[in-house]
Parts: sequence; structure tokens; C-alpha cells
Amino acid sequence: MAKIVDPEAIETRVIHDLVDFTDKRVIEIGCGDGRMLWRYARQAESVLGIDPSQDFIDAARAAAPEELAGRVAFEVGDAVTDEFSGGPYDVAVLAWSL
Amino acid sequence: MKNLHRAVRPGGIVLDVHPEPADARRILVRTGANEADAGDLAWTRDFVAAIRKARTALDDCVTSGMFERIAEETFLFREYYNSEESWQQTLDKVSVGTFNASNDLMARARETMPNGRAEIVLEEDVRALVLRRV
Repeated sequence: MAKIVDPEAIETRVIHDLVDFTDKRVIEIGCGDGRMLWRYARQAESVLGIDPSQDFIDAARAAAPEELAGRVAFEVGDAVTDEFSGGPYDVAVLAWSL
Repeated sequence: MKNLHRAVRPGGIVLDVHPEPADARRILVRTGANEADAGDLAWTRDFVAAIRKARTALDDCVTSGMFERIAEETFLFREYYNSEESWQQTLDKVSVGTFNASNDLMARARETMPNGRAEIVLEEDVRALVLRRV
């Protein structure tokens, strides 16, 4: 154990209180290494994570749980200049993306 | 933001989760059940400016009628460090600016972290905002 983020799962409770992800098609813009994405991906129909950093996308793909294969995808992309593929989506998440 | 508008179907939801644009995160040293305020870790000016700019852009989306504001909640977000290495990695990140902390408390935390008796805690307020595409 070295660094633990939000072990009380307050963030997870808040986002699920605010948004129903059940069976939704979700895009997360600026997904980083997928830390936030894993907190709702199991409820969603599908999730596309976008990030401009290839390193982050590689880390997110490596961390993807096997049971979510086929439902979660990651792409390198820039939220400002690129069109998002596969839309329109039911939910767009912008989290810790600055 | 036009890209975001196109990416979400009419009636669809945008969830924005970002720190409150305060200048700093609080540093606590936790030993057992006790926590002591040890100072703060300031964001860079650029990072604070970027958060404020992004908030303004979201507000403009509402003002312009592209989205409507549905809900908002502010919550406490915490990160726990119990190794010198992980703490140093955070201090090295580009988004971290000035570090103002009690030298005594931080030294005590560093001494006891390897023994599993102390943790450094970073704490900040985060806002979750929900918008609906009109």
C-alpha cells in the first residue's frame, strides 16, 4: 500500500447519487488512466474513454478488468480538436481532466 | 464545448467532477485515529486558472441554452500516502505548486510511515455538477 485514493468511496457514492449509469452509453473525456471510469463502468452498457496521452490510454487498457472486455474501450483523442466516434452518448463524463 | 454538445444526445447528461478552484489542498498527518493539520499544498496558478476557465465555459453552455443545470454536490476528496515514494511522486506532479507545511509534522510522518504508523492525507473539496443537454 502506497497511495490510496478516496478509500471512503465518497466520490463513488456522489456520482451514483447524481447520475444513473444503468445501461447507458457513456463517454469519458479526459479519462486519464481510467481511475474514475472503473467506478461506474459495470453499470453502463458501454464506455468509451478518451485521453490525449498515449501513456494514460495504455495504462487504462492494461487495468481493464476481464469482465468488462467488449464493453469498455479507450482511444487517444483531443477533446478540443477531435470529433468523438460512436456518438451521440447518453452520458458524458468530464472528471479530473484538466 | 460544441464538441461536447454534439457528443451527447438531446436529453443526455454531462457529469463534471473537478476540484473547487481554491488555491490549495489541505495536508493532514494521520497517526492512528488522530489527524493533525500540517499545512497546505498549493496548486499552480495555471491549474487554478484552468479550472476557473473550464467552469466559465460550462456556465456559458447553460447561459447559451445548450445545457440546463440539473444538480450539484460538493464533497470531500481524500488521498492517503503511507510511503515516502508515493508522497514524493505527488509533489513532483506538474499540477502541484507551492508546498507549505509544518516541517516537524512532516518529518514525524516521514519517520513513522515505514512502520505503518502514520499517513499523509491530502484533502480537498470537489464539485460534481450535472447538466442535461437541451
